[in-house]
Amino acid sequence: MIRILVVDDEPQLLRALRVNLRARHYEVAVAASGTEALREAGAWHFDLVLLDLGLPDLEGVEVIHGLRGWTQIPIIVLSGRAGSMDKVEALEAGADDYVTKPFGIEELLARIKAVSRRVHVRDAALVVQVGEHTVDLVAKLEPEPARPRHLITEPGMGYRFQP
Amino acid sequence: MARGRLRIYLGAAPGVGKTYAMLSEGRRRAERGTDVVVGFVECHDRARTLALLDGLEVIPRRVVTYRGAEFTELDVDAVLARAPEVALIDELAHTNVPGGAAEKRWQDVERLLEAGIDVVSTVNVQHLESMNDVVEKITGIPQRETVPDEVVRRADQVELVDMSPEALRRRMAHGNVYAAEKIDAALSNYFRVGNLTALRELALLWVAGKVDDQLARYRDDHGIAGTWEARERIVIALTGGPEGVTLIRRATRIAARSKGADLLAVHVTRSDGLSGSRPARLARQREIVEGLGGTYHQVVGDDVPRALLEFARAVNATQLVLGVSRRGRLAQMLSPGVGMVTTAMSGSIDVHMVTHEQARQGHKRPVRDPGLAPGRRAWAWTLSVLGLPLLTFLLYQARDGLTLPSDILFYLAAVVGIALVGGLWPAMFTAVIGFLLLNFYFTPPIGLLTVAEPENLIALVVFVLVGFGVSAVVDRAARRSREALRLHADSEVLFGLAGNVLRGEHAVGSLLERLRETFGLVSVTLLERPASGSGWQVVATVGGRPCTSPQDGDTEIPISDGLALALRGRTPAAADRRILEAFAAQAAGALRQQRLAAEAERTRPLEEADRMRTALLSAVSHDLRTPLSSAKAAVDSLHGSEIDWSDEDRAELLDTAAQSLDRLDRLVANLLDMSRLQVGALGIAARPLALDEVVPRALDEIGPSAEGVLVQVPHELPPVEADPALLERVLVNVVSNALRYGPPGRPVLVTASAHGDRVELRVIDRGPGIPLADRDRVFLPFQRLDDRDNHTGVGLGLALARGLTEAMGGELVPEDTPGGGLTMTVSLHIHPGD
Repeated sequence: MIRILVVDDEPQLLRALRVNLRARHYEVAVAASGTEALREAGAWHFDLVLLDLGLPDLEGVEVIHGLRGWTQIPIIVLSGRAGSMDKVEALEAGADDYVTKPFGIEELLARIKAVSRRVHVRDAALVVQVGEHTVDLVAKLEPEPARPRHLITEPGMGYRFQP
Repeated sequence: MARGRLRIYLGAAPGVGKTYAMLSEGRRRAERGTDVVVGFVECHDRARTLALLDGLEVIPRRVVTYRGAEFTELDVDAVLARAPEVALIDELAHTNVPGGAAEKRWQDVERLLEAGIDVVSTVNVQHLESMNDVVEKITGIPQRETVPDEVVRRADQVELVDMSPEALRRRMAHGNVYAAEKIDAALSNYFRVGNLTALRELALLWVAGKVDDQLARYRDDHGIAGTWEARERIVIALTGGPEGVTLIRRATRIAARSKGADLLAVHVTRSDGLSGSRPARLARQREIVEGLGGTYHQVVGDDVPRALLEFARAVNATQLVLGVSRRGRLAQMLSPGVGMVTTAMSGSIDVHMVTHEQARQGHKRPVRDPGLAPGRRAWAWTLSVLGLPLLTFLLYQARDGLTLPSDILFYLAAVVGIALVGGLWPAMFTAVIGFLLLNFYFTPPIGLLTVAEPENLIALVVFVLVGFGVSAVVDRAARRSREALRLHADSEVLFGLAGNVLRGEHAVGSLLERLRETFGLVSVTLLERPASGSGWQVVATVGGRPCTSPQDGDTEIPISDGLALALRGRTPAAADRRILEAFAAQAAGALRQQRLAAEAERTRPLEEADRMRTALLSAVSHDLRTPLSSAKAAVDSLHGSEIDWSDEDRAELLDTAAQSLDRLDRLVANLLDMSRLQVGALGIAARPLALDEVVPRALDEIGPSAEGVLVQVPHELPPVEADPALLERVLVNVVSNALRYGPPGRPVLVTASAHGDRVELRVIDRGPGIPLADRDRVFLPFQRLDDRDNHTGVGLGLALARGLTEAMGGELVPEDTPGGGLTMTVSLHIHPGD
């Protein structure tokens, strides 16, 4: 099940989105402020974030920066700001899509699907099948990167794999 | 037996600390060994007051039963029986419950005083009989308990217990005055800052009156007459000599002795520039004076004492500080110095002659121009006409011992002397006359205007030529030195002018004032002729009646086509023209600068407005879009058919849509009202209105969130004059605001009470309150300028509430709720009735 974090300070919108997304079998968590959003995102693994820009404590763009510091999860911005500078700023900061309020619920759902699809393709490309081995390029290759045990650099040889 | 002494602590209002002060005094006296008892103290359960009572002997109160209720009163007989040295008795103005010996407590106190017991008591200013009417007018509450002024006035000592209204309200807010649950009632009835300030003023005035009496009595007793002196203004005359610093210091000391004295330094520039002053030194002294808070002035005048005194009188000076003359004893015998003349002419101004190290050392004063002063020229002519016959007579007497060359040399000396005194023309005249006299009396044939010997003729001709030459040279030198002095004087003025500009005093007015002062003019006007019109306009003017056109003044100085300076008062010498033009150019520059600054100032609000408008648009669009998007999301979902909604989900979505649309509706209504209010298109239908009808309607309008609001609006309040629909909107906004900020569990309270011709409706919350500095800002519409806050809206609510209230002739004022929070007071006129 896809887990979505909805961040907005308008309780009615949170309510409408929660009902809608649940009905379409998404798992939904809500946050009413930027700090709450960052805390939730750190505590749980989400597959997608719906984010309002005008939050009472942090600017939405700051929240994007905060998330992008450690995760690549897709972020869709939901905002009443319709200026192109606002859009550029949010997308530059690392948002994956930008939906202006008021929006059609069908459109939002379609965009959620589209963004999720792109992410799946991206994730898939990082898992490489080499003969009988499956290499997950996202996963950490060495348990202790400071003291590598499997992928060793040797003078005159380059990289050597030691199972 | 000696009568006891009465000491009264007078306060402006309950809670300022009278009882506390009284008990503190009682304790102090008891600690010193005086026999002190507490006759009657009302502690109002104030903890700190109660603590003071600890350890003092308290006389038990008398219990009186009146109409079935029990009251406790001061037991005078018990106190008399106990016979202490000092009795502490609170509330002098108290009216006893009927049944006792005395009607009023002050009568009980009288008995104690007569018995020789000292009494310390307290009274509030509103209980003084003479204050009764005033206090009722201020507070709207008639005082039933009063004490005759005479009783308090006769007290041996009256001490004011003072506290600022803000501090008293703070004390009350902390629960130090009344128990917390009583606070709101006390607040709305009595403890408004306005009330407290007025009462405090009454108390202060009353005590001041008493103090005045005491002072008058003291002065009568000690035979003190005379008044306090008026403000001192001290003028320092600076010559530009090194002694100036000493004079300034001395004047500062004089100023320090009399409070608030003004210090003015003045330097008289002579129009002939002969003051011998050093601009650099003057500039330094000017800095010192200005550093000491004084001002520096420069005036032009040939007669130094007169100019000095004119200036001193013009500024209303009381004292004048002068240096003792720097000239030697001999020079002083020949002519009285500036100091002497000034002292003789000073009239009511005190003149201080200050000695200094430079006194009597003489100073190099530039030699006066020999050629041009009219007096000197006349003197030279006289010398020539009278001196030549005398010289001729003396030489004629001595002709046996002197030869012609010696005679010629004597005449030549006379010519040079006269040239030095009177310049070219008297000297040339002397030379010609000398030639004729020599010819007539000293060259053979004597007695005839003929010369026998060619050698003598040559000598005489050479004499005349030399005489002419010397006259010309001496005259030219005199002219040069005069010009140099003139330039010196000019440069001194220009130096001061440059100093002004550098000091940043480039305001046109100050420049014109300096010009006026320097040349002793009546008025100076800067005129401008706009490019379009033909008439002149006054741009800036100082001094007396301004000139309306350049021709109007005594002197006109054109600056450019459209700009001119007009001077009134006297015509400055042609030589001053250069300086005047420099002033004019400076004034034009200053004017230009001032206009550029003004222009920059004008565009700033425009930029600001532009920025505001952008921010505002984003705020309004946010506030409109937010509920719209929730509603749209909810309705869209219901509309789409692909999902089979459960009843529960359907209900929730419908509720979301309804609430969002309500919010939108409120916002749009507020926006419309606000715009109507701003264009003045609001129809007001004021009619008598009972508040207890409107308040419930407003709460209904707010909806379920208003269920917890406590309403204490008495039914018997007089009707107010208001428009029901508008008042409802005011209340909806104010109460919504209170609900938004009030913490859960501390319900919002709505109370109402009548004060004079107004009814005050208070909406009291226990939220965070608003800092004093932001009180006015919350009433500005659209004060929120971003989309970050979903709760305050664009700040229309309170702005609208105030606007509507004022449109109905009322007031909406925020105050602190005692104990924390905000109280919004809507004050409306009572309907006058038919």
